[in-house]
Amino acid sequence: MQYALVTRNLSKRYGNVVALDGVSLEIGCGEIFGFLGPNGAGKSTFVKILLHLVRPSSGDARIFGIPVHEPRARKHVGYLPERISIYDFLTVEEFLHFHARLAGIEQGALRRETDRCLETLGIAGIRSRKISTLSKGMLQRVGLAQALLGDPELLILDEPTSGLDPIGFTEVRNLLLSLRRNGTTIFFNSHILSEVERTCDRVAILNQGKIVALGRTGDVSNKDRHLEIIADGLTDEILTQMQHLCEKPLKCDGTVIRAYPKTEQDAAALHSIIAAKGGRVRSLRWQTETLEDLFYRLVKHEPTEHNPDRN
Amino acid sequence: MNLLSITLIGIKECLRRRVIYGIAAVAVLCLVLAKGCNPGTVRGERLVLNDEMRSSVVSAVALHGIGFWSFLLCCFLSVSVLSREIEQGTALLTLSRPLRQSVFVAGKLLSAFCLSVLHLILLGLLMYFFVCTTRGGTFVLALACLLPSLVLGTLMNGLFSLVLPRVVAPLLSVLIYATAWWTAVPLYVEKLRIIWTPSNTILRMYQLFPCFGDLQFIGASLLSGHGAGEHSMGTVINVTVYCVFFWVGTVVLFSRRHML
Repeated sequence: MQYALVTRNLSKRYGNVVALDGVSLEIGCGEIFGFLGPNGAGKSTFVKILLHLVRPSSGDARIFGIPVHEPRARKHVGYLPERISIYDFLTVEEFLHFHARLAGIEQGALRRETDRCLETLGIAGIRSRKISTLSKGMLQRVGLAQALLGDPELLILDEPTSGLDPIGFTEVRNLLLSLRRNGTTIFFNSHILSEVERTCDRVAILNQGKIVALGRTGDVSNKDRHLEIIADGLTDEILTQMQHLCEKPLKCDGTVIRAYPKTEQDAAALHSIIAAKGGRVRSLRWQTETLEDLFYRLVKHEPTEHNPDRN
Repeated sequence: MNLLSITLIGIKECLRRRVIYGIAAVAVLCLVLAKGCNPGTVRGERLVLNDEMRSSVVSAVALHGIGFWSFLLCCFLSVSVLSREIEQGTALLTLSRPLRQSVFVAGKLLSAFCLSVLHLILLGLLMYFFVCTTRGGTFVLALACLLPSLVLGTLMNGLFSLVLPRVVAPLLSVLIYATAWWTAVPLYVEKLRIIWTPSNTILRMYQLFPCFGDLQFIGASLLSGHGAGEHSMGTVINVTVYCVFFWVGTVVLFSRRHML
């Protein structure tokens, strides 16, 4: 498999603060990869290392097999930063022309390419407007248009839907999906977990500089499929008998039991055990952990502001 | 291509700064006033000069004047081109493109340099038509002697702007420029040595400082029909060494400050 992005044991320290701790990732060509984490987890540091805006303390990062410190590694990369800061004295068109030239687009194709990106984002009507006069949502679209210049093979997007209204939100999601169909690899940071769950093929959750979960979007969150039983009259004896039918230890919190039965038949048997021993089952249902549940479970017990200034 | 794009954007950005129009206006005013400047007195005796000598003195003063004003403008421009990029975060997006940081730094500094040169050319044209009686290649050569001091000034100020507050950096540059200029005076103005012999400290300062003064005095010397002088080779070496030092320092510091 050809990888668009590979990192090996990537670490970054700021003095005594560890921003990244041995992050290893492989992102295949044509994937949409979601990178999640609380504030200060090290996501932006990771992205900045990929773009050679920050030097790693150790480890290796490559884009299409080229070490990131070589400028040619960024030849086929489009980037949208989290907080977009643009020369506000330029018009939208001048700004895009500037970036198109830096992206290596021929002088003759500048106009055509900027038109294509403006139309893709539905902002062709604001080409002559000064950037200083744009709203946050428009600015975000201009930033996205800039990232699409030159039809990059890898898009690195930091909060791409930030500042967009619900329509813009849907448009961007559709855009990302259509880009994926054309073979573009998309790496994006987002705090909107439901969006990541709907859009991404794979996700990684970063916490305190370490990857704490990595895998296909469905697999990562469905790992914790369990049976939630709400029952009265639970005794130690009932719980002990129930445990024999489960592959993982039961979690009991008052009247709520989280059980991991080995089979569907065992699930039915759990109900029978409670009823037979004098308990009363009020509800019993299969629960699948959403990405949001997983995210909160993995990061909620840990301090998230270990590196507040860097992200 | 990248260098040109960054330079053009930098020029556009610099042209928005009102201070450069103020400096240009004051410089033009000074140049006009130079036309009527009086050579003054020596020990209470009024200097009596013939027309040719008077014109020569006025031309030299005007040349030093436009050298100073162009240097001042280059200080005001180069102080913000890099530091503002870091503060506002605009460099982040630009440097995410396939571009070397040194090209980015060069482009930004080049924009400040180009505008300073444009300013110098405009003042030079005014001087050529209204003040100076020397014509032809000598005048152009004299003016060209001021260019290295703009290169040096841009690089020096670019470096200072990365380590010092934006108000302090140009002041320090002007201080260095002024010190370098006056320590060079006794070496070039022969008549001054009659009344003032520079001390060893002054001579050491002259040797250590960037040769801003020498460049202007060489220009003035050429303008008045004399040669470049015995110090020209030393000046070339001094300026080259300082330019390399400031350039490397600027690129390294920019990289350090930008790439944490």
